[in-house]
Amino acid sequence: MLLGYNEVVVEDSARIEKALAELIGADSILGGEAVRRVYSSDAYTVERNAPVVVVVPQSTEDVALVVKWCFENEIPITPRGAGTGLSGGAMPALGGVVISTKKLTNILSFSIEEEWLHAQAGIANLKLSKAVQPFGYHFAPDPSSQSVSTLGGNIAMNSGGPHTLKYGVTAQHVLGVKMVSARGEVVQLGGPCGGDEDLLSLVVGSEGTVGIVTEAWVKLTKNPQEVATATLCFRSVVEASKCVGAMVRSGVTPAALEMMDANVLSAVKAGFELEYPEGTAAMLLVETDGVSGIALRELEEMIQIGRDGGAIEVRVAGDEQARAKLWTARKKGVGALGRLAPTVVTHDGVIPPSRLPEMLETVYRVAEEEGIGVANIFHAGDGNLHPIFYFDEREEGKVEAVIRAGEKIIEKCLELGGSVTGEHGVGVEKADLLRTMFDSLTLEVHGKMRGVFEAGEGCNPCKIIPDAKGCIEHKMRWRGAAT
Amino acid sequence: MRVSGFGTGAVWLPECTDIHRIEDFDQVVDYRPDDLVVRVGSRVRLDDLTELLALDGLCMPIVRNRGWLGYPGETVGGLVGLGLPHFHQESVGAIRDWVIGMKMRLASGEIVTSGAGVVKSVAGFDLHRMMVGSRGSLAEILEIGFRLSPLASKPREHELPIFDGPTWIHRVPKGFAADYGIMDASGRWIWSDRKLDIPPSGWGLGPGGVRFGIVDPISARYRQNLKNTLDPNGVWTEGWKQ
Ligand SMILES: Cc1cc2nc3c(=O)[nH]c(=O)nc-3n(C[C@H](O)[C@H](O)[C@H](O)COP(=O)(O)OP(=O)(O)OC[C@H]3O[C@@H](n4cnc5c(N)ncnc54)[C@H](O)[C@@H]3O)c2cc1C
Ligand SMILES: Cc1cc2nc3c(=O)[nH]c(=O)nc-3n(C[C@H](O)[C@H](O)[C@H](O)COP(=O)(O)OP(=O)(O)OC[C@H]3O[C@@H](n4cnc5c(N)ncnc54)[C@H](O)[C@@H]3O)c2cc1C
Repeated sequence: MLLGYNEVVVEDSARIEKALAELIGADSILGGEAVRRVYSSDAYTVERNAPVVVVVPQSTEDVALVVKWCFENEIPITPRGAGTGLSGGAMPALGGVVISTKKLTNILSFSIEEEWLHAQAGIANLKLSKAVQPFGYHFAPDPSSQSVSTLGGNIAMNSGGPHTLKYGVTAQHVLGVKMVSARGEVVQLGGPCGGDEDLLSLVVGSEGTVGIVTEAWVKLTKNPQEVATATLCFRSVVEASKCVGAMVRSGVTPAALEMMDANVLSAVKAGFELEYPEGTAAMLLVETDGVSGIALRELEEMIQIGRDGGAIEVRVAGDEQARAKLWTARKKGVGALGRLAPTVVTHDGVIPPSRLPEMLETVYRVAEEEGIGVANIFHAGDGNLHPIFYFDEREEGKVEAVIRAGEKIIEKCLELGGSVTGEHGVGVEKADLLRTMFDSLTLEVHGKMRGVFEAGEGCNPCKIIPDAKGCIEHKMRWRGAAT
Repeated sequence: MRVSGFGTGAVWLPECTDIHRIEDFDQVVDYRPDDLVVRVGSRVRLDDLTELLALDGLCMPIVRNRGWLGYPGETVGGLVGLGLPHFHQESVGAIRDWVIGMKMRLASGEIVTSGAGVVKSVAGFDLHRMMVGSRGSLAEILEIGFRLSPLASKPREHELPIFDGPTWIHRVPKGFAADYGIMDASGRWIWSDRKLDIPPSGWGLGPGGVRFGIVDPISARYRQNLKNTLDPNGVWTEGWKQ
């Protein structure tokens, strides 16, 4: 019987490594200080805690053996994909064992006729699309991290991306999963024909707290016949964001509608030899797609809205190469921000798109108040903001200032009728903030959803639900632990 | 006891004579056409909502069967609670894909919320998606948030022959050649007045709350856990017969 999980410390590592090596083989166990350091955080680096052991199982059966052993020995587990998460979801909050899907990277089968693909959870998102590209299909969810982030991670976080504006987030593209429960049982929910949508609705977005997804069946989406892309530059962020509202309301559903501000543009300009007109404060990237003839016509409508709203320059892609160039700022923008300061922290919140002008004013004001830099590069069409703070974490008080700024921004999102997170998830970063969105009874019921899958607190502890048992005293230690 | 909207879904449900109708919750709570979202009480009539949205050139692209439009009292709570597949769900998404938030009341009287008033949110568990098709067996749905789409994106309503008697709905692999019934545009759903012999990976729904197809016994246990969690005293009648 579980009495609650304590932190598992490094002194336990030899015993755990030995036991797990006997179960799944020594070549599936990673130990040592360097490994522990790498696996102590995901891409949300301001909170860290080292695991005791990292395992890289090679099959669903191996995952089940490890999980069952950990369950029986009351050792907390943390599932991990590529570690690109931005809310600390893959941080092993109570130490214990990190179960990485790094070696579960196969496509198991696919059917073009039936438009599904079955793959292991550790495969990178982009590889799914690449596998079916020759047949004119793709996997629609396209997080900007898609070249590395995994199918399992996308499912756990219910990830979105630029094209989810039109095609929907991950939840809408998952037909089934094979999952190892927190007790080590293997369960299949849905399959190539779907089914079990009620339970799947809880698994998708559960951030690894109900089990480890080892395989999934996903929908394949037919590539559009025609894609039309343009960028529009504006002299002010307010003008650009007003245009976003008008485009959303126009009767056309763009495939993607993204925004980048001047700070992002200056970072990519330096890194990728791109040029933007003098005085550009914000740029929109608009993409429409569909059957031949329609996409271009719809793009023209979007461009007209942009021109009426003050666009100072419009570039339309004439071919695939030009299209890729227009996307450069969006795709490389986050990485390029590394040029501006040693540390970047990406935030995530959602507001109704019509409130973008007001919201962005708040973002810039808060950053100024807290003395940190901010750049905005985000999914404007669905109101999903990503203020990116850049700073030097070695400077006294900066990490705290970033956390405070994030909280102020989220407060504003909620005041405008939005959400604390649109796609990066709750993790540890936003567990406390959930209290500002849901009352305590609601949170209690949400927390009980782990019990539906018979998952105790040992399965990715301290994530999503605030103040889970045993987490409060540890929290102070992760906070600001970046070194 | 069964929570009920207008009652037109009864043919798909196990028999129940103890009917409970929710009081109130018959108003539009929040409508923001500029942001393509609406939040309504569960007793709002689907026809009224459709009409309201059309005034702004908006819709939920959930395509109903024309022959079924003769039931003007049906409610959004019933549409979501029953959660039947619709004719164009493979191209525009299932009902579940258009639900962005929910307020519900547990049998204990406690009110729980899920989702948000914006088109995208990953805060907390998606109880609102899970509740679609719950058939009144878990909790009362009080309010539902929907995302909306331009009216132009809605596929045309279909003139399907209505089966006089009970209807069976089958989810089949795309290549399956049915020798009977009406198939949707994607070739994945078949409506029929009888239960068809379908391949093992298929599944379906039938009259009287029947759900057929292979179910992992562990998932059946999880579903029971869900029922025990939200309705521990079994106040609400089961919506299904496996
Ligand atoms: C540059 C950059 C751009 C990004 N852009 C986007 C974007 O556009 N849209 C977006 O939504 N996100 C984005 N992200 C965030 C991140 O990439 C996503 O959340 C992604 O889905 C995480 O996948 P991962 O494989 O890296 O998972 P990890 O970070 O390893 O884990 C994320 C969470 O999922 C759990 N998990 C991982 N694998 C499994 C599994 N198999 N079973 C159960 N639980 C599991 C972990 O426990 C953790 O809670 C971005 C991140 C970066 C760094
Ligand atoms: C001839 C015919 C054709 C039909 N064709 C279609 C079709 O093409 N597509 C389609 O989707 N449906 C169809 N239906 C089914 C049904 O009419 C609709 O789904 C309708 O929207 C149900 O609305 P209602 O208010 O009558 O719900 P009810 O019948 O009252 O309820 C339906 C289910 O939802 C639950 N429920 C209702 N309100 C709530 C609530 N507030 N909280 C929790 N649970 C609740 C009930 O317990 C019940 O299980 C058809 C029905 C008939 C008779």
